[in-house]
Amino acid sequence: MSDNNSKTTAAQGPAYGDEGVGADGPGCAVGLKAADYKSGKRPVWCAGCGDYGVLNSIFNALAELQVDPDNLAVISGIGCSSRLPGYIKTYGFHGAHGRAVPVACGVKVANPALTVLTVGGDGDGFSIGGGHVSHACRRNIDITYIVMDNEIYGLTKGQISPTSPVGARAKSNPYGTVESPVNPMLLVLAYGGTFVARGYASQPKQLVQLLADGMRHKGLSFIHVLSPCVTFNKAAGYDFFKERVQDMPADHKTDDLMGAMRLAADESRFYTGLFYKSDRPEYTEGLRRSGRKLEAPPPVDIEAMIHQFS
Amino acid sequence: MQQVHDFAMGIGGESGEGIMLAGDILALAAARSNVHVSSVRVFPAEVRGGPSLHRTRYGTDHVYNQGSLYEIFVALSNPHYELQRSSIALDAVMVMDGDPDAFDPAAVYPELASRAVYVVPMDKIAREQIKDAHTKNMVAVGACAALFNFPKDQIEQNLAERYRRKDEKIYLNNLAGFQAGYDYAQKHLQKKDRYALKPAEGDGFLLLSGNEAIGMGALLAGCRFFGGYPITPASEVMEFMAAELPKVGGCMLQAEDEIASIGMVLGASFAGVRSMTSTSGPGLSLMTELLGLSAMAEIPCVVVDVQRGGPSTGLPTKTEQGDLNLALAMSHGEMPKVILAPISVHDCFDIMFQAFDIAERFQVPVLVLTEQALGHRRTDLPKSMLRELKELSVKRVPQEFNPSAYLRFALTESGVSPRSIPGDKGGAHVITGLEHGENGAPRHDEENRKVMMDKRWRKLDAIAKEHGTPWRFGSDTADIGIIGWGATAGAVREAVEVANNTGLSVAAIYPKILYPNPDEAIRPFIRKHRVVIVLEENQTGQYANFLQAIYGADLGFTPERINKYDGAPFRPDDVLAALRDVAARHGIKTPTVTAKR
Repeated sequence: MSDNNSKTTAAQGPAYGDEGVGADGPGCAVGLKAADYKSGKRPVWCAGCGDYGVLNSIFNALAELQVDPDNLAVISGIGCSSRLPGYIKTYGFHGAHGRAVPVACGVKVANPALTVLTVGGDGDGFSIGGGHVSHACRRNIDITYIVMDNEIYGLTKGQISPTSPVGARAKSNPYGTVESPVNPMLLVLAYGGTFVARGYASQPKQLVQLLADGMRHKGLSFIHVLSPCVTFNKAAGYDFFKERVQDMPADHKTDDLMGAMRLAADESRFYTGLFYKSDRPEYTEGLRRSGRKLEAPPPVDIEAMIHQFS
Repeated sequence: MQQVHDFAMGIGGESGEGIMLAGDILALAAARSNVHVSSVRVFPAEVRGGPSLHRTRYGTDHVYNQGSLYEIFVALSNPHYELQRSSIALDAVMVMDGDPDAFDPAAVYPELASRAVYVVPMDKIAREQIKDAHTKNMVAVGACAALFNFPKDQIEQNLAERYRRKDEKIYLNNLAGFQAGYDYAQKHLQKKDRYALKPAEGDGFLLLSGNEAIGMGALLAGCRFFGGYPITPASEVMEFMAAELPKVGGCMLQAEDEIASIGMVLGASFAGVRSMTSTSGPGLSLMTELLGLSAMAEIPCVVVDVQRGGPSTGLPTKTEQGDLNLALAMSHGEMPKVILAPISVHDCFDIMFQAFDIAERFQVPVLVLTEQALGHRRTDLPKSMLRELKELSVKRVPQEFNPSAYLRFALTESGVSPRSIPGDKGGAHVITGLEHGENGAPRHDEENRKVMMDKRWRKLDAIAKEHGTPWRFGSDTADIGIIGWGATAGAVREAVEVANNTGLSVAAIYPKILYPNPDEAIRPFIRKHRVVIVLEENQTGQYANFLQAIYGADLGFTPERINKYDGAPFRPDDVLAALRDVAARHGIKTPTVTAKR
């Protein structure tokens, strides 16, 4: 039928490119600075929001890897942090609440040569969209998923989130929540995430490195970023995190899953850094190995089809 | 005795006895011999156990449906005869399992005394002669082949294709069972009925189910991503795509739920790949929010809804046209969308080209409403359908955009804006489900809102005009006009033919596109016919209500309604009976209108 046999690349369009090469492959631009990734639109975030620090770190990580903005897609759901794609000069998809991860999976499978960032908040990723994260991890699909966790619903002006601690008071829980929070790090480690890290919005140097390493990683990278909400969650502001954020113990080995889980489970502090990394085969690569013809896909074989159905 | 070559044959038995296989083997042998077939599998909704039924109509001319009553019924055990008794013609031929020395059908069922009944010891032959109880269905197939002239060599060849390479023992047992049934019929049964298949010259037909035709059409229309989630009765579409897409560089991804599957479809489509999903009512309910996003952010997508009985889990294995309201109303807010309804298996194939064409060119969600009775209907199709396909150019040429001038949602006369995809140079943009301006950035002001709403809805005007030509059957000058949609066309087409041949003048119209309403075709049809019936498989008359809302005021349109909502599709005789009834109420004479048999 329609598909010709010419070899395509990402820059030529998606159906279908060379095998995914991600951020460090061909098609990268040269000499891009962090500022070159700015869309120029002013963020809607409050002054002091942790998401500014995350956005800046993303700019720097993209520049470090020299990601071509034309071969990048930034996917989000709904929430304060989900407005982030609008601030990057690239292809962005600000979609539906909780559904950033499946949309990102579709983008990556359709065109494995794209670098795919997925961004959102704790509510988007671990409440309404919680059912998707496990499956994206299971597939180990090569997307970088950045969750900006402020332990509150900010866009709707202050209701508890799945990561709010027991006793947290908010408009939706004036007497204090009686539910225990989820622990995103523990969940993703248990789901089989192959690159699991935590950063803090106020530690840009470390965060840039984690983001860049996450984008380099072939497989699902999960980066949990502590990103304070200065307007609706004063209980978990910069002071709160300053006391609790701590670098990973120097002796932690990143292939030690149980060790990573122990550190993630420590509720007295927030360890930051790379918790765990493994080299399980990536999804689109697995498809290629199991017979998906990405390079020069042949047209539909009409006679084979006739044979099969007659 | 003159032979009859057009007949409906049912095979009934316990789920697990290989009923579907037996029916499929006979149907395929017929199709390979250039006999027209239309068959449907009726599964029980349980995991295992319960009655299974395979129903096939054979004919020397096109068969548009599975017929009204069975002319031949094959019962692998007596209870399955009892279950189907009301669907079996009074003079039907019976093939029943039993020991001829011990089982006298007329003694157990007095109504069988005057009929041709063939008793075949299917179970006994399978157990004692073949020593494999699983071959009982093949014994039945063998007996039917001998009795009704199904080509023996085609069946043997088919068995070889199915099993020889997989498992030699299963192959040999099945072949032996088939041969034993065939020999038994030849040796012990005296032909006492008129039915015989009539093979014709030719290179054979394709045999496809509606669901397979959907998949095949989509594949050839350039679909290269399918986000799926298993659901009865739509899973066969996903399974077809799972097998075929990797061969041509595509991918079927079985998602964690229907919300994820439509999310993935939108993601893949955003990345520039023709993408689709298929589901049934419960899945469509879950998808409606993201379909709204598809309309708002103008991301093309194609969703096939193989309808089943609802609401809730409803009747998963039975048919209904109950999702039209959902399709028309989805999602929250007001979203432009396109609804197509294929009328036959062939049309399932054709309509997917139309669906992808509309989705891509107009950047809208396209919903294809089919139903269980069509998805699981298997009919013959000409091989030329595939061989004579024109080359489609779905390969998108990479484009370059001027980043300082490019507006993803630029206002145009048609409402369609230039679309860049990731990888295109200079086409960067952000799409959003928020209301947005021409550059895609969120905007909440009143002026922009109205302009953008109108832009998105404007796209539908051209779609209705381009795709408005409906299917038509019957006489243009008829007193009675039927408006229907989807799979009921098979029974209606035959009923209209019979009515016109026997003195009742009837016309029928089946729009290919239900929404936007193809006014240029529907309006004149309503005006032309004295009595207009809207016929559909639901309780509340969803399409009738839709049309009445449009034409009630200006044409005084209050249609007659024919509705069936018991889970079974319309049969030609149902339609004829309803037509006689409507005609009588309107004083229209119906001289000799009866079903074909």
